[in-house]
Amino acid sequence: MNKIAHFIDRHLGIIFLIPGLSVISFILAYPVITNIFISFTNKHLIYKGYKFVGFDNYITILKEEIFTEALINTFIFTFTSIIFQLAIGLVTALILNKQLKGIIFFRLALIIPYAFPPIVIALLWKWLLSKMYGIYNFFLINLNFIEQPIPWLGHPDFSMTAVVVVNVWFGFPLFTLGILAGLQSIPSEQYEVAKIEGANWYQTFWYVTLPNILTIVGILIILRTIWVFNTFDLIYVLTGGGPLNSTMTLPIYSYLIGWKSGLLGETAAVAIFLFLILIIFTYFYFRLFKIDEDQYGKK
Amino acid sequence: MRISMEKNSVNQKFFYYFLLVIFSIFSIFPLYWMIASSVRPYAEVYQTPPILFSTNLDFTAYETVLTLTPFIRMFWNSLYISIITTIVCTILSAMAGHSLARMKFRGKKIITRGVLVAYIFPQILLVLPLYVLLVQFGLGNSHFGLILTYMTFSFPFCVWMLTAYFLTIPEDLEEAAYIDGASKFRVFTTIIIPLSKPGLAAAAIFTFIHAWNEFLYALVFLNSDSKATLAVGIYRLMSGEIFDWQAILASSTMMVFPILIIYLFLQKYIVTGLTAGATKG
Repeated sequence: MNKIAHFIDRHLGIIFLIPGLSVISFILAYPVITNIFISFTNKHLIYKGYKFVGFDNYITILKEEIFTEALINTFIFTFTSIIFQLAIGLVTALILNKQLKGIIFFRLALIIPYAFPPIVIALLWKWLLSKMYGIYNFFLINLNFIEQPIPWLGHPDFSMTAVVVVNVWFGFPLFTLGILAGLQSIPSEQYEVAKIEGANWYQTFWYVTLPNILTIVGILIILRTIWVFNTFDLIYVLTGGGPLNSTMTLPIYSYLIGWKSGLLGETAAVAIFLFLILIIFTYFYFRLFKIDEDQYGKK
Repeated sequence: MRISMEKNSVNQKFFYYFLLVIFSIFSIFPLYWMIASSVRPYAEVYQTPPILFSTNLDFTAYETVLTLTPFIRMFWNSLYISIITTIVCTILSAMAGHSLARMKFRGKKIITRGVLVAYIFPQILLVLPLYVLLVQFGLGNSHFGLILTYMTFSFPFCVWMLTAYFLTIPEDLEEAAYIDGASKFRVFTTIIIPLSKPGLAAAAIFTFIHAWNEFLYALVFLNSDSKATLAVGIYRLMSGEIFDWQAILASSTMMVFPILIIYLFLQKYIVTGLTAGATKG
């Protein structure tokens, strides 16, 4: 008995890992291998039986015009979202870091969007941006920015802008909090030195603040890029990829050909494409972590 | 460790507050408008120009949702799915996180990186194979299957966060306990766990919120109305025959409510969690 207890204690590291890792490999590793397998077959959602088709699915997709469109849309959606999220996040974090009164209230107000379930965000913004009853159209008309109410989600010229605005609203708080944490970990001595040297606010920002938060900003950008790239529910409920495919992104496209058209082989192939692109992002992510490790020589 | 900056001048302060107010309105107005639209008389909802501040309170929409739709049933489904996911995930990831933070064994680096890759996995890539898998094991259209799939996201995230958190705990305490002859398991339950309450709370909160909010898996894996979660239920309300904005906004408000309570009272854990994901704790 004692021997068993001793054995368990010696190998507790592995034993503690086993339950979690077995669940994860069952629901993650196995499905991924299945997915790769399906992408080389002509499996259908309803019809039984399938056969191998080699790279046919991949070739079919690459020939599809919608695929290219979706690819471009995904990049536009991701990068404009990230740029604005970063800009708002940086500005709000810098201000929150000043010792002002009532900052706790403002911090809470600024992270509220992140509390919303994507489904509620999508429905709520449909209401806010509605052409007939939308309050934002009303505001914009009153402020003389526009003359006529705009069908934000119903017209291909505006839909992408609208979807990006919604995503910026939802996602900037993560930048705010991440950058704020970075700012708060800057040693105050560095600011004192800058002050003694007579640096103005711009030089202080450029030579003290920015180098200190650069790594964290980089990590945030890559993590957010990956998540925004994968966004499904928000766009799916807001526009369903339309109108006229103007907001069709890869996740939506993959979903539609799988669950609406039943072409499981093609849907798997699109997912693989998506994954390959993400692997590139991940590579940069690990590179940044490595820089971080080298800099601080830890972990 | 706050930075002692030179005193902000009055003009600067005014400018900072001005920006804060602008961004706060940007972030908080949708919440206000959602609640405000849901608690006014029906006629005022579609009025043009819209009434920004209405003094007439009317909860008819809430009554409609609670009596005419299976809202309560779906609320309950979401609640217990989220709670079970949270309990299972927090325990498993605390064990795994402890192991990765403290124990030495071969292949640790690969597992750590693998966890990270799992964390950024696209949901859309997994939805089809997971569906096939669940049906194969007779778990299609079951809450158990759904709970299992929620681990694909939550487990890697919590392991990552908790590993970072455990690393911040000084090892001296454990070493003292080892010298007294305590076993590793005892050290874990009596030293690590009590000291990690904030990290564990953050992990639990995130798992709960993710499960509560999740839409895609619940939409695809559960196909009967009685089993639907809130996210799917509200979506079906929108795509149903009666398109009633006020009912949608009322049910949305009720769905957001628990999360807002969490944000209001457990804000510091949220901040811990969000920043741990970015700063490695």
